[in-house]
Amino acid sequence: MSTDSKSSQFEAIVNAYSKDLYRYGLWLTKDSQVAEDLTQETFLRAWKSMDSLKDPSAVKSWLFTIYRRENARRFEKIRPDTTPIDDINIDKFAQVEDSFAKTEVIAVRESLKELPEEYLEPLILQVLGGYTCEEIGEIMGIKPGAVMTRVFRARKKLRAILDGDDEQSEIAEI
Amino acid sequence: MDTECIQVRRELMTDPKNRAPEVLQHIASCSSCSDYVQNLGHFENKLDPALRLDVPEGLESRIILAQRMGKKATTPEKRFSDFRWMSMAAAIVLAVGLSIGIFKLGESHGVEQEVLAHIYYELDLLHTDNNLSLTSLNSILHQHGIQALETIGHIRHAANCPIDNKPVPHLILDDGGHAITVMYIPWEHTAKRTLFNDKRFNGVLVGAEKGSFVIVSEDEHSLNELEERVMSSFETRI
Repeated sequence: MSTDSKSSQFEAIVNAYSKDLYRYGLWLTKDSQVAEDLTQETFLRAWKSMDSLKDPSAVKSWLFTIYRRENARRFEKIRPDTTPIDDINIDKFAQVEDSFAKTEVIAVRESLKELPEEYLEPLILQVLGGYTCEEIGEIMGIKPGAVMTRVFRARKKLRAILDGDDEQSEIAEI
Repeated sequence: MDTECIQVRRELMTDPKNRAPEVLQHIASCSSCSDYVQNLGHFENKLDPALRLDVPEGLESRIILAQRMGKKATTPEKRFSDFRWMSMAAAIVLAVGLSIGIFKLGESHGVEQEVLAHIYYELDLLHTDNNLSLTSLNSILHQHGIQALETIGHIRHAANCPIDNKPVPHLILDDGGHAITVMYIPWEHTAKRTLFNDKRFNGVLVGAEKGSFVIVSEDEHSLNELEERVMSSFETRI
């Protein structure tokens, strides 16, 4: 692959996936600076290893896997002091014009902050990443069955929070 | 609600986009589950935008700039509070430099390349002429341990700008109507003279008594004269 061709391909990948990767990171790290650092680091590593990428269709999961690994590396040295996602401006929604709908979306976002990370991460990968449970399992290094359980519980918990219900009672309802 | 309802609802809560024939068939025949699907759809319509947090402006540009530089590009929050130009800078690098192929950083990551990148960031300044006084210039240079002499000539612009995340004096001098960029890098000690260029600019990195000067011009023929002018127009403060 020529350098120009590789650069063009890299730019296309950045334009296609950097936003979702950053959002994924921001939900995981709760820190916009760390999320962007990890996003840049992920793409730097991706650039260096692009020649070894055999299947171009796998680039998205490859990026999420790198990101996840980079995030884990932060914990190898010291446990980061993360703070709640208070710096996120939850009033800005490009996709939501209607004010009532906006209020509801804000409520969901607030509920997401209460979700345990083990539930939140596969849910983000499913909704933002568009991955199947099998693919999420590969990225997270867990079995597809475990992914299914986690995304199920994530939705149950979120809906229970939003409805002001006892989570257990709603799970029992199904 | 029977066991089939429970199973279908579990599958939908696991994957709301599940359109397996048996799931669709059940929904079509069960009004309770049909309502359930509708409610779940409303929830999913809110979940997607809720997860789409705002992305900082210029993210893509900074990533591509980082790739060109071979290291992470500093984000605006990390930079000095007054230097909020990184997003704009990276965008210019992309729009002006990379897209039409005039700006190539190559494999080396030397200070001269950071200077070139900075010039592209602030291209508009090449058309600026604030006609600064020597006193004004020296008030900027003072903190860097050097001062300019009268021989420096017409000074169009001077400011502290970030190179390698540290402030350095960035001067634009006039040379017969042409803009000449001069940066003094206090920490760069070099005995050798390094010429560099891209498709637009020609430059030289030359060591001074303590730091180094980077001089950049669009006219390669005037570079030697400019170098002599610069090297004879600054002295180290004691």
